[in-house]
Amino acid sequence: MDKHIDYSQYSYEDLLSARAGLDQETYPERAAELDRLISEKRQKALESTSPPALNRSQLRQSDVIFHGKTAEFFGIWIVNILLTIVTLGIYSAWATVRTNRYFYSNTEIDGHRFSYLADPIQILKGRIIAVILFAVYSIASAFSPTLLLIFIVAFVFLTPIMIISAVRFKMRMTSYRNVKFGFKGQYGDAFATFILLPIVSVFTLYLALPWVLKKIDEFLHNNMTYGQQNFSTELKSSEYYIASIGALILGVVVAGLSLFALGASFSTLSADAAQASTFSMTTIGIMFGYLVVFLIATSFYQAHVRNHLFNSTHIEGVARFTSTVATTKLIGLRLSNFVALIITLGFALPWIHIRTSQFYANVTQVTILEGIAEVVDGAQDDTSALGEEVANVFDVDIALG
Amino acid sequence: MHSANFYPEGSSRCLLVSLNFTKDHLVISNEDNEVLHTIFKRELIVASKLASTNREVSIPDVGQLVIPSSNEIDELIYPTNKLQWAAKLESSYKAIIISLILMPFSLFLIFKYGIPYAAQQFATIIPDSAVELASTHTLHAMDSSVLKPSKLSQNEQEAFRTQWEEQLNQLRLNSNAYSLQFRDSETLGANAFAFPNGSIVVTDQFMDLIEENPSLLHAVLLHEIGHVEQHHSMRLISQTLFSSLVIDYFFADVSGLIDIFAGVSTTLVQNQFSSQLEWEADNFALQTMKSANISTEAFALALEKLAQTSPEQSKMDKWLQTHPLLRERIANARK
Repeated sequence: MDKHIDYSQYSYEDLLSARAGLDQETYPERAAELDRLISEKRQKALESTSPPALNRSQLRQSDVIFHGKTAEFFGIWIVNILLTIVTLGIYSAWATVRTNRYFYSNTEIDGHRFSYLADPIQILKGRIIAVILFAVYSIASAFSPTLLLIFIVAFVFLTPIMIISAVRFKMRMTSYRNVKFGFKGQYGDAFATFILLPIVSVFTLYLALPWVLKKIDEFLHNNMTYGQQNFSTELKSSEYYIASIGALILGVVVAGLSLFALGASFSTLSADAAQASTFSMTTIGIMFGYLVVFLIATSFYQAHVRNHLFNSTHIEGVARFTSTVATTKLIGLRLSNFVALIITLGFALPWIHIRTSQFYANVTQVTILEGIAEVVDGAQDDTSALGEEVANVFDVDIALG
Repeated sequence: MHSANFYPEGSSRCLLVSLNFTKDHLVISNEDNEVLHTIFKRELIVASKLASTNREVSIPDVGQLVIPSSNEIDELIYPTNKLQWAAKLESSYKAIIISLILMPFSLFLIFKYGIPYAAQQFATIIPDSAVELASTHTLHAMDSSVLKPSKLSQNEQEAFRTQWEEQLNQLRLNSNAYSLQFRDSETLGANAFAFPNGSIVVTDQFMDLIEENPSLLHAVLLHEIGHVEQHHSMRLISQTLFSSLVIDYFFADVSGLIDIFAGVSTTLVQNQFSSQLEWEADNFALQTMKSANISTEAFALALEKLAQTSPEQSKMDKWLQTHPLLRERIANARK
């Protein structure tokens, strides 16, 4: 029963592990094939990395591969929406889990896929809480301006809790190689980062805002964990200023140009007696123009900040990241997504999701470090079963959608 | 024999294994054909089938298996009594086409009938004390912002009130349920509005506009009573609540762009609904006047005077405005 095993799809590490576990006496051909593939992959890894960067602790470079298909996801999307409507929203928790699972388990790095672990019931509980909070808030605020004020104050103090629990939930529900991600951000830091700093930036006439955005990214990424390994990032304020000022200039220039174009079309239309329709066309034109300017400016910011963030972040001993988003390509992607969404009245959404994931996968690389095979799952160290139970009770995704 | 990735519990190690299924067991062996684990099939926790993604199987305290999907493996790992109906629907052309037709149709039904009906039911169960609280608080807030005490003298105000109460009695409406109040407001201009507890506020600017012609005033006040009688404020609040919940629920998973669209569509739905409420209030006033054999011309005249104060209306306004086109309402009053 010497059945042939196809090793060609195996990652470098899988090959090593297969070779280590193989009895050479019994399967000489397999051993030879494995050795050949291993040296091939090693050669490839050496070529794909610039020689000086490849030191002893670096195992290999890996692309991020996204396997999702539009046709397949379209079926999942449309059926899940209908089921959500038919069940008056209850199924949306299951829909969310299935959608996330589809995207996670179609994302591959170094031969391994991600897993999405959330239980729909956790999400359903979170949604019920969110709906109740939202209903209480909107009814109370409609009934009494005083209550509204109390709610706003309470909301300020609750926001950091909601942010950390949302990020924590998202991370805990994600695993790679059966090891969970985690988030250890604390309330005090979150309050300072998300509430105090933005308020302070108002007094600097928003001049400090890019720095505040940097602090927010630092807070989020320095508190992430993979198993027991910490994420670590060192961000530069200058990059955030470049991104913000660039986005601002781009926004102003595009807005200026489109107003100029609009003015030109106005003067040609003014001869037209149909004043009423001119008015509605300009209203639509302005709304459309606003969205386009918004998309272009935010794309510039996103591309710049994502590249900087990825290139400055690593998981200790496990992995380093590289991001090479080209601003023009991101603008192209988002503008075409926007046009497709409008033309198809929203039915292009699955296609948009798939091609966006594809785009981001293509511009991301991961450098795998030697520690990858020895990460210990953080949850294993959590000896208190009660602590775990309590954490599970609050492990609900308190965010609509 | 099937090959799979096996991730032993507690660390990031990964082994390539082969799986053998017997009647009750799953046998996991390594490349050397050494048996690593023998597990009862009923102990396997299999994630539900999802398109062509790898099948994920977790084994408590042992680890996780990731197996490439195939019909053969599906038959082996999924218990026959547990129908994988979600995956079946998601990949069935029939289900997809039915969804494509039913989705827009059911969304239309929800917004057109479901939400207004729910809002109407919800409005009637709101307790009177809450209605009273909402009304007094809101009037209070308006008094300290956009409203100023009326410039009409107390005597003038009393005279209008007495006339109005007589009119109400003649129309067989409960005059105790409504209180007429006068305010001055540059910001709101010529305006009249009702609170859900029955307080109706008329601005000095409105009184100037109708040149103190009581029949015009009475017609407009009847419109406001229509709002109160039909619980419009509470219906509007519930409608806002339900429609933003529904929009958030179905469309919020698409970040960024859709947020903006959700905002616009909420406004559109909202304004469609509030114009529907205006029609209802109009028809209440017209109906009441007709059944008491009072000419509805006064109502049409009042609307015409209001129309003179508002700017030129276009087709776009019809969608973006809370009040239906005054022209159509005037025609309706003269019908």
